Amino acid sequence: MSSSPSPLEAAPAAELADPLDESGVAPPPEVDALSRWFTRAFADLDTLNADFCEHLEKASSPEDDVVALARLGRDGIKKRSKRFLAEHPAADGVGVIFARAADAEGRGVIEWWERDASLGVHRYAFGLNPSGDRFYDYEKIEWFVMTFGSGQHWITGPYIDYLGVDEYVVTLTAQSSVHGRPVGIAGVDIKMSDLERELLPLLQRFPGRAALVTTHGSVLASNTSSLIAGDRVRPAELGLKEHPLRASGASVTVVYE
Amino acid sequence: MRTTGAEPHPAAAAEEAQQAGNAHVIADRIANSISLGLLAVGERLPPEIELAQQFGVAVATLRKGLAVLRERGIVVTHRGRSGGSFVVKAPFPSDAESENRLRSLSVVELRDLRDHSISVGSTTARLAAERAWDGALARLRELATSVTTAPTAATAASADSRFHIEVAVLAQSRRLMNAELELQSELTPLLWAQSLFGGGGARSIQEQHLRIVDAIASGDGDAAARAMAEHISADAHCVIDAKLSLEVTSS
Repeated sequence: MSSSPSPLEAAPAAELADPLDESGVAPPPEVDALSRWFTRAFADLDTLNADFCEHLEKASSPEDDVVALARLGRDGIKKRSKRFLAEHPAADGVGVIFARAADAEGRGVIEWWERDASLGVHRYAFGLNPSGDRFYDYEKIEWFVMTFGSGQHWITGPYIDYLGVDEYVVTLTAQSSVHGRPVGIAGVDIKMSDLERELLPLLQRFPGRAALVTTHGSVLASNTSSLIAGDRVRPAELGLKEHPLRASGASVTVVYE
Repeated sequence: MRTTGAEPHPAAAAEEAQQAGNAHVIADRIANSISLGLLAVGERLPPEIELAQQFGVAVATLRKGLAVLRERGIVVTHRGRSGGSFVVKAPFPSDAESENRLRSLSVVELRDLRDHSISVGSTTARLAAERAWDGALARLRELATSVTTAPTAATAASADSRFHIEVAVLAQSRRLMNAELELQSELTPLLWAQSLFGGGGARSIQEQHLRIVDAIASGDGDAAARAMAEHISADAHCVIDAKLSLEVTSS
């Protein structure tokens, strides 16, 4: 795992995401660094998603249903996922989660590739039969609900992906459209321990306490034991400064002393 | 896999399996090891080659046996990093099996199972109250009521376990979730096999589940922990009563 305080990708991001906060005051450079990290993470997801969609479109025709689409696109998705995981040491798994077809008993369709110990990738097998005992009912999960249809970027978590990859993760998502219609979402899983390794060096630049908090008030990472990942807080009651990272597309707020 | 003196002689068993030449025999024997507690939920099965040797069958036959267990939802197989076949569910016991199990456990052991379940369960409920966001609770509420709509004792037991596991998921602790998975596989089959199914038990369990959900939804960790402790206590006492009445009828 990378120990450098870099964003998901090492190249420096040119864009300054949130130039001003709500009071019109420029945020301190520590906040900028966090903002750039999330901006870069979503930019990388967008690039990945665009490649997935382009590949799926080339491999299929507009009449194909999602089952055929996933089958025809599998090799290309694997190749691109493998490259992404090689370039992004903090990412644990990536892929496309397709909206379940209304027909064919609504079986789930997921092309998900997970990192291997030996620098390889393997396809993760989920329980996709709706009548099965261990059905991964993913259309009810926050990342699907928030991204599919709306097309917005979303960060889900921290959560234990029970019946999914069974890890404690956050998931970044963007909508995938093929032949002009939304077919599902592209996602990147980051294990919470790896997210911490990425963000802690940036959080430790703050002179006082600092934390990243999701829209639900869940702490993603912090530089203090008074706010630990998974804790739920009401940012307004902490008596800290708040800076939402809106421009990065991340539903995350920095709170800091 | 651990073996005990109670198991049939490996060579004889191997021969039997070979003669049957049937993946189902292998599947049943592995399932039986799980029912007997030789393999616990969450445990990884030994490598295929080792298992095949143990049962005296070809690796291909063993693989078919594992496929049968996967279909039954008893094991899952993952490739790669954390690969292998894992026990995810104990097979639902027959009446005779659960009766034997209840006879073999002392009241003190059942009380200890209750104590451990309360310790893990009430902590998961407390943490869920502190950590879960409102959107996650609709699913929990749905799971809380699924015990009354389940058509069989086995499905009701699964639904009951699933509710408790979801509380552990919302607690966001992998260690507690693994502990809960294992505890559920011990206590819940006994509860549904012996005491409750067909009676008014399912309804009362549903009410207790809903009380727990309400406490979690209100964000009151103490109330959630208390409601969970009371619920597990009631469950465990049903099982202990069932055990005691077994002893009365057999003496």
